[in-house]
Formats: sequence, C-alpha cells, structure tokens
Amino acid sequence: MKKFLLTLSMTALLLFTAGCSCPFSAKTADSKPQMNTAAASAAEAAPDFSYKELGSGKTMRLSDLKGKPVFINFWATWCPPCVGELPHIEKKYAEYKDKMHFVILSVDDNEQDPARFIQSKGYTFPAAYGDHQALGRAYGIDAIPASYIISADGHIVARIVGSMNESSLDAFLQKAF
Amino acid sequence: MVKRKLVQICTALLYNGNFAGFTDGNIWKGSSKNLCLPGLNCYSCPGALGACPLGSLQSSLSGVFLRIPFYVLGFILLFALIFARLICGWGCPFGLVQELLYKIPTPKLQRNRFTYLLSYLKYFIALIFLLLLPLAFYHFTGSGVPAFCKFICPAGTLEAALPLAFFKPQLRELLGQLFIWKLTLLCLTVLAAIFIYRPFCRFICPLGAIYGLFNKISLFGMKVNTVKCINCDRCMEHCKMDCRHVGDSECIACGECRKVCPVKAISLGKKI
Repeated sequence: MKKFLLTLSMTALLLFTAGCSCPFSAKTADSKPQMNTAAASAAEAAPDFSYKELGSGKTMRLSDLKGKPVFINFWATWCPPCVGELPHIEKKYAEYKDKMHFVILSVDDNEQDPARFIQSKGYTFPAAYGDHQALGRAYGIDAIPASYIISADGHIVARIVGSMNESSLDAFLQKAF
Repeated sequence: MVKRKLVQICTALLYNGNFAGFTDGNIWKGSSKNLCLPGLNCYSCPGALGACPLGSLQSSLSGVFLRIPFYVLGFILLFALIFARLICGWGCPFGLVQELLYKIPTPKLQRNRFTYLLSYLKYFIALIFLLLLPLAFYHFTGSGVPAFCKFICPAGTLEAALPLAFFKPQLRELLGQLFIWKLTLLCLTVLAAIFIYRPFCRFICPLGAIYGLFNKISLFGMKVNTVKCINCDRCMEHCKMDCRHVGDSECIACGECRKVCPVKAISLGKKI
C-alpha cells in the first residue's frame, strides 16, 4: 500500500510539473510579454523594447533610434566571451558611430554590475540595461553574446550568436549597409 | 523498500519536467530555474526545471566580478546535511545513465585498491576546477570561467550540448575544438560506465566529493546496527562503490550491502 501510494504520488507530481512547464515553455521563443511583436528570425520586425541608458539613466525605446541601422549586442558581466568581445565593440563604435546606432545591452540580473564594469574599463559605447527575461524571450535568446543588426526601418537583417573578433565584427556590421 | 531505480527515473523526469523543451530545444526560463536541483543536472538542458548546483556554484566565479555564492552554498549544505550522497544514489540523472549503461552484459572491472585510490581524484578535481582554475583565469584574463562546466562535465555535454546543437543551427555553427574535447570525454565516460560501475561518480564528480564529506553526519543514509553486525564483511565484498565502511564518504546508499547482510544489520533511513 505504501509503495503504491508513493508511486502514485510521484506520478502525480511528475504530471503536475510537466503540466506546469507547458505554458512557460511555449513562451520561451514565441511569446509577446511586454513587447509589441514577437520575432525570432531575420527579415521580421524587431521587437520594440525599452531600456535604460547606463550613462544618462534615461529610459529609451528601440523605436526612438531612427534614421540609421542599429547594432544590438546582448552581453553580461558573468559571460567571459561577452566580456572578451567588448574591446572590439568599443573600437568599432569609434568607427561606426556616425553610421549606426549602438545598443550594448546587458542582461545581468542587476544594473550595477554592468555599470561598474563599463566605468572601470572606460568604455564609451552606449551601454544599456533592460529586462533580461522579457528580452530573452522576445528575441529568442538562448545563448550570449548575441548580436543583431536592425535596419533603419526596424527589421532584423542579421543575427549572430557567439563572440566575434575584430574582423568578424566588422563583417557583421557591414551587413547593415 | 521502494525500488531505487524507480525513484531515480522519477527524479530524472522531475528535474527535466519541461518535456516541451525536448521538442524545440528551448531552455526553460521559469522562476524555478532560481532553485538548485540536488543532483548533477545541467541548467542548459532544455528539459531542466532547476539549476545545477555545480553550475550555479561556478557562475559565482565566472565573469568579471567574483562573489562568494552564499545562496548556492546554502542549497548544497541543506542537501548535504539532509541526504548527502543519498542524492547520488537516488536523485542524480547522470548517475542513473551510468547505472543503465552498466547493465549492458560485459566483463566488469571490480573495485580494487587502484579504484579506491582513484576515488580521491574527485577531491582534486573539485579543488582545481571549481576554485583554482576560475581564480587563475580571473587573475590572468580579468574574467573567471566555469571551468568544470566548460572543460569537463559530460552531463552537460549529454543533456545540453547535444540537444541544443540538434535544435539550434546558430549554436551548431559555434561548435569547435572544445566541443570535440567534451564529446570525447562524454564518449569515454559512456564507454567506461559499461565496464566500470559509475566511474564518473566514483572518480570525477565534484558534487559527489562535496556531498561525501557530509555522509557521516547527514540525517538520512545507510546505517549499521553494531549489535547485530557479525563483522562478516559481506557488505564490503558486494559494495560496488569504493567504500571501506558502510555509509562512509563513498557510499551512495544504493542498498547493495543491505541486501546481502546475513543478519539484516544494515538499513537505510534516518540516522539520528
């Protein structure tokens, strides 16, 4: 009787967890939490989102960045390849800042860490901070660093996962033009 | 006595209850991911509902800010004080995988003095890959790395790297020499597990090493009724791990000793 009850309760618990997991799992790539549209592939509208500029503290939206393509890089201080890529981004920012918007968006679970790190390195690129869970779902991010090129009319034209060296980053940025 | 294999299968399914993740390769991002699972189960497994305690431990020494992982240490301490390596025997999916492989009928390598000495290796691996290497990377590059996850863990390769690479072409493109190394380690572990009982658990797993330190003081585990015991040593003759005594730091509470004790002096339960 004891064995039967134990088996029954474990089965019930399993079914319960599987059942609970389904609504969430459906949200991981196709959800529309706080975003206007969901997009997971190129040539689709880039989900609009709000973020905080770490330098000024101003709240911005992606849709505010008009007239030029946008380079978005999702990174975090706990991610070694992300951190390794930042010096290249800093260098390319100097070259491309008149031609493109840069949004170097930290998905750390707090904004103090990326702010502190950016300041310690003296990076000048536009550092940003946003709701990492919602952004991760909207952009279908499973791994970072993840970079996107958004065209001037708000479409995702290129996406890459993984850190880039200087020449790969240059080639990636060129996809905006 | 509840069948241990049944509990192992149930816990493996429970830890990885996001079954939908295995159909699309998307990692579960619900709030339960903030909780550590007791056994070794990769955070990045598409099915995982919780975080790996070892991965969480290492994340505190990853990246540009090093932190003492109080939260994760609290979880590990809680699990260790209540169950210690009973978790290895009853609630670790990767342990289950090795036991299933061991069922393949081949000649088996019996435990011996060499395997007993090799069981100390996991303490060095814990020290080097959980602590020293992350600190060394931090010192030399400014950024710590989750060294055990990155360079060794075959559970991560099996549960995360393979399904993610299967479903995600953009991740597949990133696979290089590190993946070849990790895949080789996984293949070696799988091969070894066919001939050797739970080789990863006995010789490599840092989580088992940590839990093992608490085996003698945990609330639950194997215990011997010293009054009934006749010191026949049949328990140790049949032990498949590298125990010297029932319930020592190598004991995963599999219960093999309990089955063979002629005077029923061994039991699994609350020790206090």
